Amino acid sequence: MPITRVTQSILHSSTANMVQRQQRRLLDAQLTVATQKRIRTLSDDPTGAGQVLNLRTQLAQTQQFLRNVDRATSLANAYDTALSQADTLLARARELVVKELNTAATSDTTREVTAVEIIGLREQLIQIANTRVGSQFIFAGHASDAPPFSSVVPSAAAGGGNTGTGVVSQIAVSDVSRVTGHQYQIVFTSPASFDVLDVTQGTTLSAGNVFTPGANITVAGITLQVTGAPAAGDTFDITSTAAGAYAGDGGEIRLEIEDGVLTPINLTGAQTFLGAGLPGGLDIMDLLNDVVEALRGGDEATLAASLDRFDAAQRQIVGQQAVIGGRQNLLDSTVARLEDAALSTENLISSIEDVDLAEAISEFTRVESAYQASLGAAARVIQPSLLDFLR
Amino acid sequence: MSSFVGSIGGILNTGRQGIFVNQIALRVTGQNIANVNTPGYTRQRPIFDPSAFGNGVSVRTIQQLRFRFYDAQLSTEQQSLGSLSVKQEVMSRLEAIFNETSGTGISTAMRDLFQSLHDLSSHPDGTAQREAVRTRAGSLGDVFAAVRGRVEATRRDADLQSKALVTQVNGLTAQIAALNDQITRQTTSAQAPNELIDQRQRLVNELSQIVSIQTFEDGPSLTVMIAGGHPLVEGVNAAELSTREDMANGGMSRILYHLPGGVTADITGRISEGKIGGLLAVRDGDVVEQLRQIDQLAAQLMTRFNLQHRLGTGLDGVSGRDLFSQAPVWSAPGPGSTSNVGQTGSAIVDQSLLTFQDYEVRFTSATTYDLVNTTTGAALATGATYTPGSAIVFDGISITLDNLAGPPLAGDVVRVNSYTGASGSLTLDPAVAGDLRALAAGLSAEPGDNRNALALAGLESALAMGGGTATFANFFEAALTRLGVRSRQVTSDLEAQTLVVDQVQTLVDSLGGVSLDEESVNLIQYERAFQASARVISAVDEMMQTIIAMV
Repeated sequence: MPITRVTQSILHSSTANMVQRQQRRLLDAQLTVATQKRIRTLSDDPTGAGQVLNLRTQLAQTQQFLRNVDRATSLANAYDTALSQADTLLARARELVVKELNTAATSDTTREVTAVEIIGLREQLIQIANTRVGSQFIFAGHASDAPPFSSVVPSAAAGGGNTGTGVVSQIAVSDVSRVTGHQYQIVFTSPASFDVLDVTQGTTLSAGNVFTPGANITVAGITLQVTGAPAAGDTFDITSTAAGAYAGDGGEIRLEIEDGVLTPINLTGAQTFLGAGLPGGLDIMDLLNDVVEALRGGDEATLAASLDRFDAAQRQIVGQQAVIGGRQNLLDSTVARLEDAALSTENLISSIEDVDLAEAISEFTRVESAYQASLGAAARVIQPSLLDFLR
Repeated sequence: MSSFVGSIGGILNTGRQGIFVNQIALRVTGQNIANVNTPGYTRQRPIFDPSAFGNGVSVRTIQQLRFRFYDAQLSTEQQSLGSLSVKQEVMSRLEAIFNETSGTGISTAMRDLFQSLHDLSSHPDGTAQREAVRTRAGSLGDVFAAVRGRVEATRRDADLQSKALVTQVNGLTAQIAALNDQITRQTTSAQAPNELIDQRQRLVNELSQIVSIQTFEDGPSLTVMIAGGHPLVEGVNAAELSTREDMANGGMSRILYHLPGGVTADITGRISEGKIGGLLAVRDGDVVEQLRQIDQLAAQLMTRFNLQHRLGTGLDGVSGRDLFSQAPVWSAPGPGSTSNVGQTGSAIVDQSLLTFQDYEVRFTSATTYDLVNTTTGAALATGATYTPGSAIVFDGISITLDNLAGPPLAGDVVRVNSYTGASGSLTLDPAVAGDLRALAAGLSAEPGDNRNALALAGLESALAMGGGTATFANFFEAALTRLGVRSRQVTSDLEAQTLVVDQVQTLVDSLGGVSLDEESVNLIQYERAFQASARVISAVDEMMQTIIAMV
């Protein structure tokens, strides 16, 4: 729109407006250089700002997945170690049995030595199966707050026809290598003496023992105390569970390691050591208990048959190791993928919200010189007046 | 012939008139120069009339260089400018509240919560991880509440500002009416009180920035019409604007118009421009929309989390617990409805049925109503019997309406939904807040069971919003993008409008502004004419001397 008549107020206001606009541009350019961010408020680039937010969420998710993979990897490593130990241990047990079978003249004594050694291995296996990572028992399934496997657990019960006041006040395993799994009975022949019977074998282990209330009575590795006053004819039955009972559950634990990918990260004891749910699964605890029993009972046939079972047990452990190995491979490749994804997301965020510094600085310089030029022009336009020339 | 031979006295008179007229012209020039920096001042110039038969000159009038059309244009453009400038202020305040580029806010709080749930799925028995989930869930609620509080404060401030502006309007209209009175009394057939007219025009310009008006001249006085054709100033009378709290709109003000001895009217919906128009529009537009968005997000988030959490079991073996408080049931009378009927009780009866859509109970008589889902338009009930004090149950919501101030009138509407206010009431369920074991990480009570924690963490990627099209984060990003686009639009509109106003102002100034150079020229011109007129008198004097000397 052509202005035909220029007045003082037009000159002043247009100069002021022009300088204002240039100053705003200058401030904007300066902020861009100072923050090195292209998007400082939503309205700078609404779509870009939304995209950045979206990408940040993705990035946080990816980083979370990386943490989950970390957790899964550390568990896999713990399983791998435990399984290797179990494998070595089974190989050693098998060796002992082979040696026992190959020895021409074996005696009860040498067999008992082997039995005790295998009991030791069984106890170690239980320790391995009770491995903890942090506070979690890793073979326990969902019931991860308590050890999933127990060794032998003894218990005593007073006979139904007892007339005295005697009670079993304490019972514990004192020597696991001597625990047989047989049922025993303490029979009071008088208030002051008792016999000990092996009910399973129908033999008397000792007779006429002197009873002192509260004193330790040890029967086949199990120590108990009877207090009170038992009467003649009172009995106490002593039993023990087989070693290796499982108290965990079959709970599978999964973690999300990629968007929507829930990968299992645990092995349960039921599966690994008891063979539950595995084709041709074998109860390894049972195997060791059987071997001990066969050694003590001189059962050569069972011993010989156990060799195949040992092979199967080792295959089972190795099979589980293979499962863990597969998981480790998956986790390794996932880490690589996630790290790539995180990097490219970061680059994308940067490309949207960061400025090219060289460009920003040259833009700043351009705006700055435009500002200076407009100030210079303004100074020369406002100054003169006709009055300066009227003399 | 005698008429051409003027008397010597006649010449003297002509010279006297010349001196007189040029003195007036010099005074006008002086006035122009003196007011070179007075805002709203319009330059004046004397209009000379030569007297008949060579009898000198007279000043017919002192004219203002004002063009009504430019004034009207400036007033119109300033109304838009006023509207846009307040809109831009409010929008940039909203933007600052939702500034997620700095990394604090709802989006970050949501991310943190999901992260803590993932950590919980890694360590479902960990006390630290449970504590983290509880803390993060609690602070998500705090962030929502803080954001809501700030948006509501923005809305209240906009409302307060519009109230203050209403008072300002009343002051301006009273002054304009008073000026109308003075101008009418001082206007003669020859001369208008120019400075008073300038003053009035300046007030009209000020008023244009505040409210949408139209003006027209009615003789010497100026009539100002406000939106809807009501006269704001008519002659010496000024109307009063006042405000009233609108309970149907969260206590926001409605603008009432009252002409003493005349009509009273509600003109809220008619003020579209000026600062008041802009504030009303942004207050009930973008700000409310933004509140709606975060309410929707909070309501759906809390409901989805609750439904999933209910499936799980805490370490204490209890299942079926909520994680958060339940979505609120909101109700308010519809616009224009009486407040006869109100809510006396409400509950969410089934979270899984909630739609987060808007409903209306429309009374068709004192005892019957229709129930309509206004989002989809579906009628849920038609001609249902209204029993005061008994619950109306639909889509998971139960609401009890009762006659608080009398029976409903046909046409009364109660609006109902299950999301408004949710962002202000996202708190942890008391059971979870009180006991970490209540957090249901598993589907069983076993400490190693992480299945529910996984499912809760999985909600991050679930397409839970927008009818199964967006994740929570997507929804929030879309809301922010929309806000950014709106704000950018307003800002660029404001820049454009500023240029338009500058241009029109330039037009006005080009015609009516004072140019010092021009006035300097005039000064010399009138001074010379004055000097010459004085010379005429001294010439006549000499002539008289000559004649007297002849005697």
